[in-house]
Amino acid sequence: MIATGLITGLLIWLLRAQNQSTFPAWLLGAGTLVVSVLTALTAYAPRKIEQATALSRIDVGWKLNHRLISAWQGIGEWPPLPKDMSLPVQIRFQHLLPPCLGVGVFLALAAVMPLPKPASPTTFQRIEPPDWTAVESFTDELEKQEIVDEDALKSLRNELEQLRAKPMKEWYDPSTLEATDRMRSRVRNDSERLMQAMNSTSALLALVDQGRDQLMNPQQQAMQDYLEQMLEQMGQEGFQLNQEMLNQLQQVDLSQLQQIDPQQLQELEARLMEQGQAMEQALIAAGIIQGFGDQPGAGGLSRGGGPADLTLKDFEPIAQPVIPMALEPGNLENARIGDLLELRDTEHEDERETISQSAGTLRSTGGSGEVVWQQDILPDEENVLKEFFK
Amino acid sequence: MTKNPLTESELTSTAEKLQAVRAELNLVLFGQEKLIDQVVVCLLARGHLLLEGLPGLGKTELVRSLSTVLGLETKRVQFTPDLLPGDITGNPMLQDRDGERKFIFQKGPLFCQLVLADEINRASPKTQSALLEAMQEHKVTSMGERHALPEPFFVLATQNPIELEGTYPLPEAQLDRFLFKLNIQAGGPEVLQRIVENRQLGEEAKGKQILQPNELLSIMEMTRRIYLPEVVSNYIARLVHGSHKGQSEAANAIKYGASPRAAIGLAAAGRAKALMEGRENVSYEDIKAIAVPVLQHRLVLEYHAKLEGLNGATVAQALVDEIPAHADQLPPVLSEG
Repeated sequence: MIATGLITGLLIWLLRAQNQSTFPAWLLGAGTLVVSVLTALTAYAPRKIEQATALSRIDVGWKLNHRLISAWQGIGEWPPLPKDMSLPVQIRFQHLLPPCLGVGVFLALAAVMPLPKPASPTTFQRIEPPDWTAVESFTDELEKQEIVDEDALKSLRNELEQLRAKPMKEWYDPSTLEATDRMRSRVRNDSERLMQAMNSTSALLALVDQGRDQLMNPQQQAMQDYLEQMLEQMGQEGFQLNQEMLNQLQQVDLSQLQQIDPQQLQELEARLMEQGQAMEQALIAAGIIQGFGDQPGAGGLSRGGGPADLTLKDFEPIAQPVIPMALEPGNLENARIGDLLELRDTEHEDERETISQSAGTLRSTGGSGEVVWQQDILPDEENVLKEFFK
Repeated sequence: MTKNPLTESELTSTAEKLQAVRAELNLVLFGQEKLIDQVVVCLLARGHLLLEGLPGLGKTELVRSLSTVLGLETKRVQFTPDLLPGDITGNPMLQDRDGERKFIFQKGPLFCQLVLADEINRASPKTQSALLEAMQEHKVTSMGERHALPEPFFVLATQNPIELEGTYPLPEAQLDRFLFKLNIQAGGPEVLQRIVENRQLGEEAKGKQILQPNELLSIMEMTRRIYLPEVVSNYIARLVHGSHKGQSEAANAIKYGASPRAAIGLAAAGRAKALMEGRENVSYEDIKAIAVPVLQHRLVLEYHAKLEGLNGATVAQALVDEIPAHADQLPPVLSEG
């Protein structure tokens, strides 16, 4: 009886946990109980209680002095039925009470015991690696501002979806985190490259606009060369400048400066400046780069990387275009961020501009004597890492 | 199963006769109804009886009354330490018969139907053992000749539980030959008042004969035809078996348990009791009623039990209380009605 109650209780609880009807469990429990009772009555009782013993008990219970069993054996007449035909055996209800109570407790527990709340699948989606969310919000912002070419954003979204398509248990595997880190670094590098080029171009256009009447042909040609160089950077793989904007810039020929509408130059300059700042704000808002004063201090959960305690580091522009030129640089105190101070006919050797990467690939392994960036790995090293993370 | 069960008329007439015997004895011996019933049961079962009680409680009176009511020839032997076996069984006497001198067996007091062996424990073991053959085989051997005792033959022995100095306690072998041992208890004030009002010193109690000896023999024969159900014989067996060491809780006080003869005696006495009550079968109640008289003198108690004040009767009663009548045990959820 207790075993039946226990099993039924477990079944009820399991069915409740699976949000199914408990009727089959009740039916099974009742059926098991009935079958057990019938089995006991038909199989167990006849083995334990012989007919003579049963008659003997009735004899004693009805005070017949074994006349019943004698008559059963053919000795004497069957005795008349006594007036008080009480049962020769009585049920001890106090012995039945504990198993009944036990069954009741089991069933009650099964019916009222609180069920463990199933984990919400959305919870796991929300705790994806934070960098994914950052890159996604940054991508959304770029798409909204229409700064970057749509194909580049689409490629980035595909890459993000591929990462999210991985099983959730692999989201924090070292390989996934490494891929995430590389994607974030690449977005940052591409963004910084594009921003630098946009700022430099904006500064170039402002300089040209201001010195429109003073620039000589060689200087105009040098500026045109520099503009082409910037256009090349803004058109590189990764983040490309919006195609419409890029086309407008490509139509500008600084060597034919007199033929260019000053208003057009000013509009281009203002738009480039505006988009560059918007891109920077988007980077800061997404947390991909840290704005001035937003750096986490030393210590704490996100320590490292920030300025030293009790110091306020001066804002350093992401890139300071250095364009040597024969002109007087003017008052440096009044220079704005991104202002073109001088033009110089030399080759820019900033490795950050020559090295570009994408997730899992390496575009440049550097040359002799060049700085190898931390996130750059050699093909052999990459193979070793892939084998390791398998 | 009994081959020739008693008919209803036989049962009825026999029960009426036995009821008349008991009623007549109750008129003589006041306040001893239970004792009288047990004595009648013992006689019907062809058993010998050992009576234990203080002097003056009516032991001799009981025997005399039995003799009168049942129409039996009775002799009384006062056992003394100098009593010889021949004094009770009889002796060969040299006699002159037809010019020849021959040893002629002179029958002793045993040659009667009802022998009262008064204060049997005062005789020597040699004399006590002379009773063994007579009690068991109803025969006496003298000079190589066996002499049959008259039927029915009963020995009613008495012994005094006090004044044990100079007595010879009966050996177990001889005790085992007594079917019943009964303790005669004094009655209450009401019984004494009846005795005072109905008896005078020197006056013998008078009773009338109810049965003829051949009628008694016939009834004794009918006793054997009483049906003993298998469940009851099983109860008897378990009761006797339970008196042995380690077989029951009560047996812890017993050094040696009851013999198979005790089991046979229980069955015979149970039949006699059923017949006396007009039933054709023995029941658990019959066995329980006669278990203590049958078992109490057959149990040899442990020394510690005697020190604790236990006696054969209390241990036998504990045994009856402990051993369940039904062989099978009810499950815990059921109890006897």
